[in-house]
Amino acid sequence: MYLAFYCLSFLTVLFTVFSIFQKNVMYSLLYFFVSVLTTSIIFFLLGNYLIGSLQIIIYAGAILVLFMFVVMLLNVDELENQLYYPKYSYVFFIFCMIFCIFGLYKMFFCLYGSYVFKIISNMHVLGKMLFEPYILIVEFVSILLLSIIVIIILISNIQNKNILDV
Amino acid sequence: MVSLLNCLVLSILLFILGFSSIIIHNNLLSIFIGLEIIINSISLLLIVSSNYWHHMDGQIMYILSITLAAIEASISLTLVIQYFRKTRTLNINKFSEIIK
Repeated sequence: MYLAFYCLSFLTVLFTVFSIFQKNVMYSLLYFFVSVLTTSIIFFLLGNYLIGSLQIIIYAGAILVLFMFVVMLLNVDELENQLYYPKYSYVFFIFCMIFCIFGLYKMFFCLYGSYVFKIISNMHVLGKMLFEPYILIVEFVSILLLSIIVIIILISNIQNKNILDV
Repeated sequence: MVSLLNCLVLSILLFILGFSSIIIHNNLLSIFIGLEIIINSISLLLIVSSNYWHHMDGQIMYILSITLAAIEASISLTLVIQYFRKTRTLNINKFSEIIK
């Protein structure tokens, strides 16, 4: 099991790096798509079957396809918009190294010998928890989604030029 | 049996990659892809911690976080389309109103 986990985590990091250093936005989205799929296979490996399938359906099927539609709509020009203009600064890399060292230094000693076990969580228990103790959060999220629909309709219907004049 | 340390290291690596993607790029869409990478890493952290403590709460938080990711993506992409209609560019330095 852990060998499969190592392979999948290596693939996830590899495809994320590919998605960052990419000239075309569409290719970058496709590499990120593969990275999301490998993350969902990690969820399947840990025993959360519902969460893995939600990751495939909602994340890869809805959000990233929304991104792809917007990229296709915009018809961006690479040279004019500076799609690939990496600003490599040594200060940033030094900051990242310091963050890695100080973030991982404690963890190597605290978490040695603690293992994540495979729990097969069935959908029945999760749905029962979602609608008994956490019913208030679900209601709030539904209200939030409704308000987001109203906000998006308002933004996309703006005709007045003074509001979004840049 | 997967060690907890490896899962947390993977999550932190993905977080650093998303953060560097936000800092390095000059283009608005790439910055949003970096935000999605960060949200993905944090959802992985939630699931792993919920599996470690034998709780269901992390999975419910994962469902909430994926809803928030959908909301964030929809609002930001609508704003991008509106700005692109006006300015015909996606460069952040041209967005700022101070330079003009």
